[in-house]
Amino acid sequence: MSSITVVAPSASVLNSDPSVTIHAIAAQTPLSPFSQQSVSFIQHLAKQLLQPTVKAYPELVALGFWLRTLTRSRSDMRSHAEKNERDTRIIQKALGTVVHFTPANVDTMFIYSWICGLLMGNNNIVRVATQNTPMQQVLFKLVNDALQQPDFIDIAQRNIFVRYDKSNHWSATLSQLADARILWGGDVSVLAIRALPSKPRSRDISFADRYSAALIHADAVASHEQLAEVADALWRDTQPYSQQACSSPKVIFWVGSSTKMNAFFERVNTLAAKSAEPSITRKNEQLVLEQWCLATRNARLQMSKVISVISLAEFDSGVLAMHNGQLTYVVVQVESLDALVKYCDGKLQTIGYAGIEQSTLVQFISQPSIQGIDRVVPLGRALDFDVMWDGFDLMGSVSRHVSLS
Amino acid sequence: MTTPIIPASDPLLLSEYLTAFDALMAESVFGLEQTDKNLRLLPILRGLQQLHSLRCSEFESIVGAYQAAGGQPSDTVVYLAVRLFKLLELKSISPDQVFKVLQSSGTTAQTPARIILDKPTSQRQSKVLVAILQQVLGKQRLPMLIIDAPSTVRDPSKFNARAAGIQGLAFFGRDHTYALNDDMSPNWSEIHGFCDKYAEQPVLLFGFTFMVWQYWLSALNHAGKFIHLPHGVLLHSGGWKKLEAQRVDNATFKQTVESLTGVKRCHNFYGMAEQVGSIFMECSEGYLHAPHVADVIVRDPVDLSMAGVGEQGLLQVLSGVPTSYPGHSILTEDLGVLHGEDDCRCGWKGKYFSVLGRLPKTEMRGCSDTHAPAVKPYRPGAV
Repeated sequence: MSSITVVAPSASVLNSDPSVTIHAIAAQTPLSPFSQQSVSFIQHLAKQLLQPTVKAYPELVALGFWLRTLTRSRSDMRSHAEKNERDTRIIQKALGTVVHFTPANVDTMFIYSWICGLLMGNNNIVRVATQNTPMQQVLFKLVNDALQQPDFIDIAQRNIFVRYDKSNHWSATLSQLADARILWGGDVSVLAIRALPSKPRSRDISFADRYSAALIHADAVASHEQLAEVADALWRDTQPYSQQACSSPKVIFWVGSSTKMNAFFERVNTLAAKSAEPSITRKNEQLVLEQWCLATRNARLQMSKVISVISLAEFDSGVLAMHNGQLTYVVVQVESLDALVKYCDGKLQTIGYAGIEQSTLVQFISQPSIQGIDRVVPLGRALDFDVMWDGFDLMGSVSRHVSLS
Repeated sequence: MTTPIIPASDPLLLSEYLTAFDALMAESVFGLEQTDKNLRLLPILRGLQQLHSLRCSEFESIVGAYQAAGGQPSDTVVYLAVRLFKLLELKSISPDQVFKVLQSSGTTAQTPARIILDKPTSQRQSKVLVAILQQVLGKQRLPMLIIDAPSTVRDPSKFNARAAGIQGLAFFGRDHTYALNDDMSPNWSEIHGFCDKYAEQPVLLFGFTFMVWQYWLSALNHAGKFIHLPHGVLLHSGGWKKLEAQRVDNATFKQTVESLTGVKRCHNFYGMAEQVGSIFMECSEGYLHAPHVADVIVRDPVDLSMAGVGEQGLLQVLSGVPTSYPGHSILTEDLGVLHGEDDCRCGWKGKYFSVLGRLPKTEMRGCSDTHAPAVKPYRPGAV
């Protein structure tokens, strides 16, 4: 008997046996995309997340704002869903059952993925990482409270959050129920789950190992005020999830003069000293990466304080394999944007930029040899969740498009 | 600010190092006061830092960077993160000088550390170990009961720190008797034979702390057996982590040893594959002491500044021994606390400290693999 724990709904409306409940959910008729009930449910959840009691978790507040913005106008969403192209009408429908395998490094990521599935009307089974963090507990309390409300009975009957040990059969069982699998996690996780059989027409939406970079032009930090502003923005992208989110910058591409570089990182260091969570393992982790880079690369130790800054003459993604957040930046200084083309491999997800014109960016990203880069956002907004993620239209991916001509 | 490196200084450095090292070896192992030790050991460590900078380019890059960043106070030497020995093969000798490669145990999932030894370093390790162990065992080779299975050292595929530890210690005993079978059950006939023969004379017992507890003391207790080795000395090494989980502390451990085996003297020691030889030995008061050719510094894990007496921190271990690999100054991932200098009630001088456990693992890496290693291949019908 392999154990599985239901995290939400706390008191199942269907059955006390998780296995029966899961199969019942998978057998439900899905809802329509953007149904009144799912939209009100999300609006309700957004309101709860923006209560003052949640303030201790900036990640949850960010989630609240995202949900509020997302559901501001139901009619907008519907029109977005039903596009007309010439004389063909596209009708969007739920796929059926979406199984979400969510990551541990960003412990609220399952909500983003789930909300996309929910808005499109699907039945959702969400496998939450076994690690139970305080932030997750707060979040699940809110989700559970919402699911208890009689107004949201349709939602409670079609959505479930579970935990189970990765070694048991549940990943295989859930895979067979899925019309779509959303696979978050490292390359190894993604491949391991994809190896499990699913329905012939089931879709896999995979989010594998990615990393992100900040692109800072020296002109952006010319004045004292500008420098402070850009440092703030970089810190905003670094602090949540201890820099372990795929979209947090681990690499800094610095274009132009390095005169202000040290002052800039001093400023970031001051912010980190003020607000980084205390950690007894961080400095040692930084030391390992610093020393490994110095020993194996053409590297310079720029700073080793609360943050660690390592300058590399050349960037290679081997360094990323060793980099596990910990308030460490690997900096590569180049004279012009063109010198960066060779570094933008398929694993590069988000670029947060400062001091570079949009038109210049468009030109840069359009270069055919750049295989990576799925998002380009102003520095400071790398962690804003977007329904376009890793180059996928998440909502589009968990729905069917029926064409009618 | 960096002085140019003249390769010709290499032999000179080495001979200066050897002279200073031999002079320190002539001192009393646990008799040096801390201020004396600092005067004697620091030049040796500095010499090693220079020597390894000349001979190991990876080490040179690291030392250069920390010196340039001003991150190293003048009263110490640069330390390497212990994990580097798992990530890189660091050596200060040419391939033809390699005499032995020692692998750390490492847990199953990890790559083991690889420590490159030449003959002189290996000999120095033995010499230092002899000097330290004689402090608690005397000069005689004692009949030795090894609390482990003979296959641990027999099987070359298993050659690891545990085997190396047994082999290193075996030198101090004779009539080596293994107390466990290959399945880790007690080998009662060997045990009883050993006890009958040596009950009335000094004997040496050696094993790894957890093995001693789990497969020896627990087995005796379980079987309701008592053995009688009143003149025995038990040396044991290895972490307390697994025992802490069972709520077994040093005092309980010692008590259990005495009540089940009659052994009254029990010394834990702290050492690692990265610094074989210069081990830290537990005194009669239950504290670990640094021998003459080694030292320990406790560092605040948050900023790696030096911690004071009574403050918990990461242990930096220093050893005057290694010339074949740059392992003379290592920041471990062990937490410990310094209790004082020169004033331990046992009479031994220098710093005395305790090891408190391992630095917790950092939870995850990047887009963490929550499913990865253990998703089983799907077999129809298996569920």
